Amino acid sequence: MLMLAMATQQLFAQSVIDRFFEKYEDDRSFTLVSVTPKMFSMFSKLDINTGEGQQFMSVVKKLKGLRILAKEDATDGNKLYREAAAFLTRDFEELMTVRDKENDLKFLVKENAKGNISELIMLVGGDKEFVAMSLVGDIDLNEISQIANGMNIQGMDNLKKLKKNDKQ
Amino acid sequence: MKRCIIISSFLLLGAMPALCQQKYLKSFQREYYDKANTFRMGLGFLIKIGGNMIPASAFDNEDGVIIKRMLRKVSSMKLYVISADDSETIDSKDVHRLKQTLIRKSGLEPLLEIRDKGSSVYMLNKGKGDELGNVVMLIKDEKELVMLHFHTSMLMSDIQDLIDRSLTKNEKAAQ
Repeated sequence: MLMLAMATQQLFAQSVIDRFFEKYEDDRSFTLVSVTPKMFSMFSKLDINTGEGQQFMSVVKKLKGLRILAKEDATDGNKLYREAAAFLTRDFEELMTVRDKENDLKFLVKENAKGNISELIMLVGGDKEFVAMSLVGDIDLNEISQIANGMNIQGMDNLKKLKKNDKQ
Repeated sequence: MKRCIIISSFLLLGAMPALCQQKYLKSFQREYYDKANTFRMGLGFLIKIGGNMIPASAFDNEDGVIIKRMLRKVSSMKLYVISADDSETIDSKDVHRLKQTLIRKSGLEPLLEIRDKGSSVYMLNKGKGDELGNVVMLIKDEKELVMLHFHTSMLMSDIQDLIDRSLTKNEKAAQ
């Protein structure tokens, strides 16, 4: 009984979006970027004392994990978007949804006990594109949107749409 | 004699993690002996020459001192290359399997994974505290797989030092 309870707890400890990532991470048609907590912990010991570098490092030091799953020229981008969105339970709060001619964009956040953002999920789905991003750590939306300019990663430019006032 | 055996045993035990990782990389390369061109090279000797014998003044600028200091902290380095004629010979799934084996059986921890179409980069390490320790990099493009394994006593503070020097140099150049 105890074993069963522990196994159940373990299952629920895993984020729901993790299961979506696990489902597709071995699919070679997806582009995958994964930076582990250990890598972030190593980064956190570094300091860069220039303007942009300092800002970037102050954000990186608070992060614990980054995963991006993307598919270019995706004919099933909308289907993947709906599937990923369905994986998200009430643990995540919707922050922003943008719909234009080409894509649907959704930002979701999870709060920790202190009321800070502990996980940010970004989903982009359209006729030709799909991106799912999970960022884990102590997240300040204003800082994230500022450093998004310098990140040359598919989909990251969408983070610029986030503003501090979006979550208070 | 007894002391000699004890010391040798301790040295061997110390080298075990590195040997363990090398075993899996070698064995993986062996799987491709009949299918692709393979190449293996120990770079430890070259590093020792670079770190100890070449004077810093032999380098063009002040980077020489930093390069020498970094090289001295690398105790061994081995390069494994598998080069195929077509893009299907080196299966991405095999490289993924190798990564999983290194994590499961050698105790390496993943640091970074980037995968795009036929190319992938995996970086793993096993080190105590701030030390980088044993580092394995698997870099695969469509027709080639490069596996780099090195052991270093380099700390994050050494990398910090490298960043600081590089920034100072850039500042000086900008003035």
